[in-house]
Amino acid sequence: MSAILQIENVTAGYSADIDILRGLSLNVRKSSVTGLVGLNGAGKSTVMKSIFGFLRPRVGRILFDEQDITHGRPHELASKGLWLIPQDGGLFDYMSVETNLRLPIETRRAVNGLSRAEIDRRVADVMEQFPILQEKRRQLATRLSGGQRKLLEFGIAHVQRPTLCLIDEPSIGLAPKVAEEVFAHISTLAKTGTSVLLVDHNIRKVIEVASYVYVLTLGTVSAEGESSVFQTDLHGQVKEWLGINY
Amino acid sequence: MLSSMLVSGLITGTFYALMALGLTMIFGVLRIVNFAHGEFYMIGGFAYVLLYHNLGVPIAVALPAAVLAGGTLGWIVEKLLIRPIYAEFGGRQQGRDEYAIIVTFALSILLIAAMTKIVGPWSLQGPRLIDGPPLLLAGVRVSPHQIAALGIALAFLFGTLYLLNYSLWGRQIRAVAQNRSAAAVMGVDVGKVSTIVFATAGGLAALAGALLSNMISPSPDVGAFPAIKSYVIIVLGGLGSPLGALIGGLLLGVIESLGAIYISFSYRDTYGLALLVLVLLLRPNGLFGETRREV
Amino acid sequence: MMSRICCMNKLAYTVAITAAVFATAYGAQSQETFDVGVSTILTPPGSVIQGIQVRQALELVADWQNEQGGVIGKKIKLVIADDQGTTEGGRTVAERLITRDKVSVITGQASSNVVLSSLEVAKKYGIPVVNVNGWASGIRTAGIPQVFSPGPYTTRVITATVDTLLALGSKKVIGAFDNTDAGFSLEKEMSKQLKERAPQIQYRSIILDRAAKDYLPVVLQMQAEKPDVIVSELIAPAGYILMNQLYDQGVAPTKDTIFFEMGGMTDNPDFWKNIRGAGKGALAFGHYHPKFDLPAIGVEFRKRFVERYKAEPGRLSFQAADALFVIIDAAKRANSTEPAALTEALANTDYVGTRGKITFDKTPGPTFNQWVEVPYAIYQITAVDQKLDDTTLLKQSDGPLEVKAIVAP
Ligand SMILES: Nc1ncnc2c1ncn2[C@@H]1O[C@H](COP(=O)(O)OP(=O)(O)OP(=O)(O)O)[C@@H](O)[C@H]1O
Ligand SMILES: [Mg+2]
Repeated sequence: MSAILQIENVTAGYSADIDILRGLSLNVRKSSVTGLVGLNGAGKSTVMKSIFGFLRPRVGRILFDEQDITHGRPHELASKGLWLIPQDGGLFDYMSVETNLRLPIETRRAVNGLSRAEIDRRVADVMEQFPILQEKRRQLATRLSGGQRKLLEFGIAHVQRPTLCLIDEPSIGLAPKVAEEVFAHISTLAKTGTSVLLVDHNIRKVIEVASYVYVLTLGTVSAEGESSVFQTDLHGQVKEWLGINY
Repeated sequence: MLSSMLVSGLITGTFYALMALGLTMIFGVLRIVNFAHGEFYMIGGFAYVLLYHNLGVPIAVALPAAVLAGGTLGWIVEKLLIRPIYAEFGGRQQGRDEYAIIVTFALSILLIAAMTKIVGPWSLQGPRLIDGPPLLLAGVRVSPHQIAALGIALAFLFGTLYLLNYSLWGRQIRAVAQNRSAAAVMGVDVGKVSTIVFATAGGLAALAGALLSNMISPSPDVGAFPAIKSYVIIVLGGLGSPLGALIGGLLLGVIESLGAIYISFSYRDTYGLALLVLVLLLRPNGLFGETRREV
Repeated sequence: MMSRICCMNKLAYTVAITAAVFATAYGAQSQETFDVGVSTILTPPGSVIQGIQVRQALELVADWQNEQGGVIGKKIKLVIADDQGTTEGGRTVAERLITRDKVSVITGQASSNVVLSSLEVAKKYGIPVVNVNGWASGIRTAGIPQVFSPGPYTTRVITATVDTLLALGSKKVIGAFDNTDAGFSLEKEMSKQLKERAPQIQYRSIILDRAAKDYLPVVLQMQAEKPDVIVSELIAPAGYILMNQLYDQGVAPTKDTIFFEMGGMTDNPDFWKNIRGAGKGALAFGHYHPKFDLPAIGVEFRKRFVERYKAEPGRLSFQAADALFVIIDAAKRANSTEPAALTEALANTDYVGTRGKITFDKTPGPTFNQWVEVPYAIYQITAVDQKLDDTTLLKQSDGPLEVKAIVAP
């Protein structure tokens, strides 16, 4: 089974004397969704930040497409094919919807050797896929509703055509109907060849879209397995992993 | 009388805005107030005057050199002193405001002391950009030098605003100001942007110092006045808002000018503060407060 | 806990070292020296250029005296402190010089607010103060026996100014003053004297913020009023800006409007580095002019000053020199450097200083403990970059004003 991302024995934290991640190891499979679940404060977002270079692991290494990115700096990773949809606020609030869609890819146009026509095509593609963005393309991002903001973040991710997309809590605070839509987009991403590392509180949905699931407890993996295995006895499993009734 | 007061206020306000623009950009991108901003103005003024008087450098070279001096100083200061604040992403943030205040404040004292040591406490009037008979503008005599200085100031003001809004570089700067981590994710080197912003702000302040050196002779302590004005302006216009800096600067210039005549000149500096209090009461985020995160 | 103890030790250690250093420094300060406290402006907001001139002159006179063996066998030691030209600075510096540095006398003060704020301190500790440049009337009317003023004072400056305005036959005058104690005092006296002595002159005064950097609004207002004379008391750097803006707007000096610089800044060492055309034609008030007939000690002071500083001394240099000479003279006569003895000797001063014979008036009021006859000069600057030597001396102290010698710019 080939992995696009390998985290090997990573220890990391925000201050020198407190480790949040403790000897964490996990793999993200190519062209499929890998799920990461855990209680509040388990360190899920910290995993995302460590992968993206916002936090330097003290121990261990992180390989992306077999390349060591342990000490990569955030701005160098996007051009390598990595993308992040953060837990909160991945948008530029005081820029228009269209600028939000264009700016990231235009920023890396030279580095990634993209033509303007290609960028136009990708943006048009997203507009077509999300008509609401087309409709509101001149509005400031701050004027969008919560659901529309999430869609825009997915739209932006889509423009990048990333190899690996890290998605942190995409359904948080969204109406159930919109959340459904968001999970549908995640499945689509995986189907079009993008590998996904997904963190979400909605464990049922994570198991549904993911092919492999990790359970994070106090900064380390406490359980893992093929999602099909869990689908049969979700309730019992969750209780066992997290100690809560689900 | 009213129209000449307006003209006089707008001229002053343009230079205020030039100072405030850089300060607000720094705030927007780094979320810190640079308490040494006035000293960039002072360095620019002295660079221009000393290059011309002591080294005989022609004005056409001395002026860009002054801007360059301010820019270089900004670049060095950012790399050396400001970088520790954000070197670690999501790293320790406690005390960062205090650190920034202390470091920039100390820098300000250091630069004043160093300049006093080098050139003495004297003030030195700068040369005019061009000579010639004055023109009459709404009853105000404006020398060709002032027109040239004003023109250059306006060009830099609007040039910077244009670049911020319409160039890819400018958008990246605004992106960092609005969402630092999202900007990094999309591939912007936020460290580099911060350095560029600090250097730009330094250059703009130095330009103001050089352009005004004929009207206000630079002395080591001259930076206090433009700095105080720009602090008022950036709060007035909305912290981090370049448009707010422009409008706030012009507004302050006009209010001071009118207040000086129609109220009293004795405590002219207080009109700006009174206006500030009034604006903050009505709009706590400043005039352009809703876009306060924007650069 | 371990590290806490270690830090405490380090702290105690530092304190001990500091204490030892101070003890040595002050212990070494035996009765060998005559400690003279100098409170002057070394950093803004006060006029630093004034403080520098004061300091230069005091250091010159102290070294000169020490060359000759000091005063009654003791070397003069100047303890220089920065009062920033502010009320607060004046008070704290005076306190510190007296209580920490244990000086016998204080001099050097270059601005009225500093002198005013040190009055109470001088009185409380009984330490004499010989100020250099405190113009405000309040300094004298307070009637503090320890405070002496060998420098300019409001009533004399204004009397000279009003004499000048009368001699010029002016009809419409505007007076500009800064928002300092000296400014307010002069403004009040000027309005009073004009009302009494020259009611025919149409007069208006304005108070300007000394921290401002742009006086265009008032300049335009003055332009609209077309006065014959604009009198300005503003000192550098504010005074420079006002002069330049008046000139740039074509308001003064012109053939219709005389600019009279009353603040005494035209002999500042950086005057011509900041003033160009605005200086040509201006009338200026000063307390020294090279064409004065100086006593021998004044000639010698000027010679030494030029040798040491490669520049002509200005009026503040002479004022400062006289302040210290008066102190030296008092110490010699009293044969003591004790504050009380010094104060008594100072009150009986009868000494020929750099510009004439100095005595202190004993009448309570605006001339108490003041050198009443302090000399002054009114001169006209007739060219850009002109040396003080080459300016036209129009009036020397109480002599007549040579109106005919005035040339339109
Ligand atoms: N910037 C930070 N500085 C210091 N500590 C932090 C920081 N961000 C998170 N932490 C701490 O790290 C631990 C893990 O946080 P993290 O955000 O990774 O958890 P999470 O699993 O994503 O939780 P949630 O489900 O609430 O999003 C928490 O104890 C949190 O308090
Ligand atoms: Mg999280």
